[in-house]
Amino acid sequence: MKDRMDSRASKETGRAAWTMLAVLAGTALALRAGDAISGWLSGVPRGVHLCASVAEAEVRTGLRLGQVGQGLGDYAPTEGGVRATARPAPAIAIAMRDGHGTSLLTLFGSTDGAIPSTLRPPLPFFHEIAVPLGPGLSASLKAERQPDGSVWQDLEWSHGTGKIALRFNGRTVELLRLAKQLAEAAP
Amino acid sequence: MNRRAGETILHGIVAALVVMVLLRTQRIRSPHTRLQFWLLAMGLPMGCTPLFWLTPWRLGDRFRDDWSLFSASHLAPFTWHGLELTGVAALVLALAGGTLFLRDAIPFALDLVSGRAPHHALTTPPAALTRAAEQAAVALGTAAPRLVVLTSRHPILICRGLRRPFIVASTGLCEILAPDELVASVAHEMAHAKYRDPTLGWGLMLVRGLCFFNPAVQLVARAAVLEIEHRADLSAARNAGGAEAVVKSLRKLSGIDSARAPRTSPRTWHSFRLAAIENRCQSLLRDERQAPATLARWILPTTAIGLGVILFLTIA
Repeated sequence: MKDRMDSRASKETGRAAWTMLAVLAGTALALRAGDAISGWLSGVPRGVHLCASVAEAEVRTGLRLGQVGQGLGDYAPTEGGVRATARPAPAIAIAMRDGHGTSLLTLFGSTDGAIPSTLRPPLPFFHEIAVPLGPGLSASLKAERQPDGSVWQDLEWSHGTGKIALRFNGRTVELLRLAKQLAEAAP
Repeated sequence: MNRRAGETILHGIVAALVVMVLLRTQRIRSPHTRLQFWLLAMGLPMGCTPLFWLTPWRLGDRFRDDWSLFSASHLAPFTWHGLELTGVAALVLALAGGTLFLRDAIPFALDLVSGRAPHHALTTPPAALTRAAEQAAVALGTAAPRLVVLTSRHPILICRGLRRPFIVASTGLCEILAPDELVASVAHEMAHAKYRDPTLGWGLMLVRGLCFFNPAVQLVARAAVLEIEHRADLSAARNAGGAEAVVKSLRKLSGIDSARAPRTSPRTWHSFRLAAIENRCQSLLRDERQAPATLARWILPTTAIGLGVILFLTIA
């Protein structure tokens, strides 16, 4: 009789332990799912941080953009368009618009290695060529197709141990002009 | 400051939901144990969240990216008429919390004021009441607290006093309740005195006032008060008079089953109160038949530790 009662008590204890673990684990999973969903809805994945200004992004990553952070030619940073990440290496993305608001330019910069895909999602490209930007400086120019079918230009070159890239929906000539301006001004 | 208030609200909501699910899945029926869990849901965010603020590295990018379960920074891009949506949500929740607090704080304050009887209304306890108090004290195994009796036709029975609880009753009470119902209702108030419920009630109201902006604290505190009442009901039912006597006295004192029942439409505040008392009666009749189940002692502290870790990894 006592053995039966002990066995039932230990079964109850086991059930209570598993239930508690399940509830706590379920809560953790639910919070993690909520975090992922909110990141997906906002378009800001985990690891990427929306910055109020270019200065804040520089503080978060240690990158120094100098005058470029204020704008490039006619293009100025848009509100809510500055993002930064520290993984796998510090990198910044700045979305800019021209004075007419029709063309969109995004500047990417990393300190070490490639620009993370969380900042610059890879797009299928159908054409790639090498273009000179200046003495001893060559860039890779790709024509990429956006999900909505539009064609964007993606220009990337090495800067020290890192990379700089421009993604642009305007004319290639304009893009190359901005890239040369950037290559000369980059700290 | 807004972020901290928002984090307190978020932690309160998470703690309340976890405790609610645990109480259901663990099938915890004992009101004493349920009360402990509700107090955990209220106390843990209040106690731990300020401690978390002493760890500023918790708000850094590295911790948010690598360790956090949930980070509200993802919601920063969402705005509503130029205001951050998280701020608007926190404001709406704070208003809800304030409303819930006032809904109970105002009657609490009015009850306090109206309970202060002038000296000329005091009288010696009727013999029936004294006998009932002695019987209830013996049944509960506790010393009978001081009885203060008011000369009033209205049935009054309440436990007061922070340091030395006493029972306030009226002469009208003895006219309404039968002897067994009188013993049961006095035993209910004595159970409140035995568990120092007036002090706990004041503590809960103080916490509710400090966290007036937190709707989770308000709702959890209400749940805790219901368990306090249920604990006293069960204590009186099991030790003095049985569930039937407690239920009859509750219904008589609230006017549910008498001609005194007000002719009100179903949606008035009073009808909600009567519905809550009837729920208590049904719950008491159901629970008194069941043997009290014992919960392993380690469940509560383990839940506290697990929930504390979850809250630490949840960042506003």
